[in-house]
Amino acid sequence: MFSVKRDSWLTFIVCSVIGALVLIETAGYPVLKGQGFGRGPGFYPQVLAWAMIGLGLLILIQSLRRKKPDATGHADRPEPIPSVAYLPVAGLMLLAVASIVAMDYVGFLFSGFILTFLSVLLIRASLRGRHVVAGFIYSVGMLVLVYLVFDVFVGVQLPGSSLFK
Amino acid sequence: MDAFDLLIAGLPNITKPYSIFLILAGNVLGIIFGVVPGLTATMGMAIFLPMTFAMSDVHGMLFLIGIFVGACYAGSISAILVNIPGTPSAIATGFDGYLMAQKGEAGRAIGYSTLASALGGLFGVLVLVFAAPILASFALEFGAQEYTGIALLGISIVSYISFGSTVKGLIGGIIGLLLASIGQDVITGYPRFAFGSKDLEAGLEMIPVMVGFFGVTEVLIKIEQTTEGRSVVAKISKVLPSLSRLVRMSPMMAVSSLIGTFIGAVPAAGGAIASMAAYGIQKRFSKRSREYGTGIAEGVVAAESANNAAVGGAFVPMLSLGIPGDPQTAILIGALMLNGLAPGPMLFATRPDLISTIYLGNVVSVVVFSLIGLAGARYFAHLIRVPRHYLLPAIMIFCIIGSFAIRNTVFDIWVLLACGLIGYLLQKIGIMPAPIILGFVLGPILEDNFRRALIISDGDWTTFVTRPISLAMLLINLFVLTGPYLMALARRKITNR
Repeated sequence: MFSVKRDSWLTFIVCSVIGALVLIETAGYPVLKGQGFGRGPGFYPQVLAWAMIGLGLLILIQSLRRKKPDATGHADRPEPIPSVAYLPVAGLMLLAVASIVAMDYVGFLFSGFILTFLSVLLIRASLRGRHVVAGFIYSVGMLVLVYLVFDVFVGVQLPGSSLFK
Repeated sequence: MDAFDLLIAGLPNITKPYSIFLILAGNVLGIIFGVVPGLTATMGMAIFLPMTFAMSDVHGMLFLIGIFVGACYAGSISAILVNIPGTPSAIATGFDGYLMAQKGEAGRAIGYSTLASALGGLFGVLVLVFAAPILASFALEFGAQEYTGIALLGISIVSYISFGSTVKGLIGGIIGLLLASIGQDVITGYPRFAFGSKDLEAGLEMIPVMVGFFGVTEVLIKIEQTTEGRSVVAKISKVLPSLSRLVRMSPMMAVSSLIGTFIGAVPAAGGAIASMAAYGIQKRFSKRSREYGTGIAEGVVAAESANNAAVGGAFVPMLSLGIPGDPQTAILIGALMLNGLAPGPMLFATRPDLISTIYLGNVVSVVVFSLIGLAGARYFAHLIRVPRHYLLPAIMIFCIIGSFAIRNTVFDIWVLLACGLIGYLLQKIGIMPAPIILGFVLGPILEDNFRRALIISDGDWTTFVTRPISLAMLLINLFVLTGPYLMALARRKITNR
C-alpha cells in the first residue's frame, strides 16, 4: 500500500480519469426521445461516472481533513512506502503477454510450458542446475495435467499452432 | 410446494455416484485451497468454474458447492497448525486452536474444529431450507423499483462491511458496474465502450473478469512478497474429541451457529465476521471467559460452528433474491447464469430440483469434509509447505486456460490479464477486488431494473420513494452509508461535552 495521503491523491486521480473518460465517450451516444425516459444508452454510465468523480473527491476531502497538525504544531508525516518487489510482477506480466502472443504461432501447450517454466525460475530467483531441472520437470508435468483435465476430460479445444499444423 | 417437498425434490440428483464423486472432488480441491495460506475459496471456485462447462447445471453446482464448503472448513487446519489462517474466516479459530497445538493438542483441535464445522454447516442449511422459500415468496411481489433498491443495497452493504474504507468499497462497486455496462445497451442495443471491436460489443464475459480479479490479482500480490518463510507444522496425534465434552458444548455451538447463519445471510458479512462475532459473544458470556485465548476447545468450536453456518446463510439472499451475499455466491450466480438460469424467486417455481440439490449438496459436502477432515487432516497439513514458486505458475496457467475455455477466444485471456493487472493496481490504493466483482455481477440487475422503473414511471424519479418496499430499501441504504459517520459524529460531540 502507498502512504495515506498519496493513496488518497491516487484514488482521486483514478476516479477523475475514469469518470472523465466515461463522460467523454458517452457524450457522443444518441439521446433517444419518446421512450418514457428518453436519455439513451449513455445515461446510466454517465450517472456512474459522476458518482465516481464525487466519491474520488470525497476521498480527497476526507484525507485533507485528517491531516490536521498535532499538539506540537507539526502535521503527521506520511507513512513510509514499504519496499515492494515490483520486478517479479512486471516480469510475470511480460511473460504472460509474450506467451499469449506466441500462443497463436506455437500453440498453447508449448507457450504454456515456457510460461510455467520461466515463471518458476522467476519466482524462485535461481538458475542453479537442480532448480532448473526441477522447474523443467514440474512444467512438463503441469502441462500434461492441463492437457488431460481440459482437453481430454472437459473437452476444451486448446489453442493450436498456426506454424506447426 | 412446502419446505420438506422442496428439500427432497433433488434426492434423485444427489444419490447418483457421479454427483457424490463431484462433491468429493470439489471437497478435496476446496480443502487444498483452504489449507494453503494465500489460496482462498473464491480463487478455487473461480479457477475451477470453467470445468463445470462439461457438466449439467446440477453437477456444476455440486462441484462448486463442494469447493466452497471444503475451503471454508479447511482454513482452520493451517490456523491451528501454524497460526496462519488458510482463509479469512479461520482467523478466530487460530486464537485458541494454535495454542492448543502448542500444548500438543493439535489433533484434538482439528477434531473439535471438524465436528463444530459440520454441525454449524448443517445448522446453516437447516435455516436455509426454511428461510429461503419464505423470502422468495415475499420477493415475488417485487418490481423493478424494489430490485433497484436491493441491488444498490447489495453494493452499499458490501462496501461498508467487509473491505476497509466504505468510500473505496463504493468506488470498487462502481468500477464493477461500469465494466458490466461494456457491450450492447440492454434497452436500445447501442454498443457502449466497444471502440469498434466486435468482442467488446458482445460485452465482457463473467469468468475472465472474475478469474482476473480474484486469481491473477492474487498471484501478482503473492509474487511481490520477496521472502518465503518455512512453516513449522505442529504434530497431529489423536483427532477424535471427547463425546461428552462435545455434548456439553452443544448449546454454545447452537448459539454460535445461529449467529453465524444470521451474519452469513447479510450481504457481504461472510464467515470472517461471523466467526469473530460468535467468538466475541461466547467469550463475553461464557463461564470460562478468562480462559478464551489461552488454548481451549470452546474457542475453536465457537469460531468454527459460526463460520460454517455462515455458508448456509449466504445462500439465503442468493437463492431467494438472486443477490450475491459474498464473492463465493457471486461465482455460483455466475455458474447459474452460464447455464441460462436466473437465480431469484422464480427459480423456486421453475427448478425446485436444482434448489433442492443445492440444499442437499451442502449437507453431503458437510458429511464428506467431516470424514475427510477426521481421517486425513495429517496428510492435508503437508500442503502448507507447498512452495509458491510451484503454486503461483500453476494458478496462472489454470486462470489462462479457464478464461479461454468459455468461448475459445484469446480475447478473453487479454481481458483476464487486464483485469488482473487493474485489480493489482487498484488494490495498491486500497480498492479491493471483491466489491468490483459484486458490482460486475449486480450491474445488469441494477441497470435493467433502474431503467425499466424509470420507463414505467415515464421518467418520474419519485417512483423509487412512493413504493413502500423500495422506499425502505433506499432508507436502509442511506443508513448503511451514512450511519457510521453520523454515529461517529454524535460520539465526538458527546466526548467534547
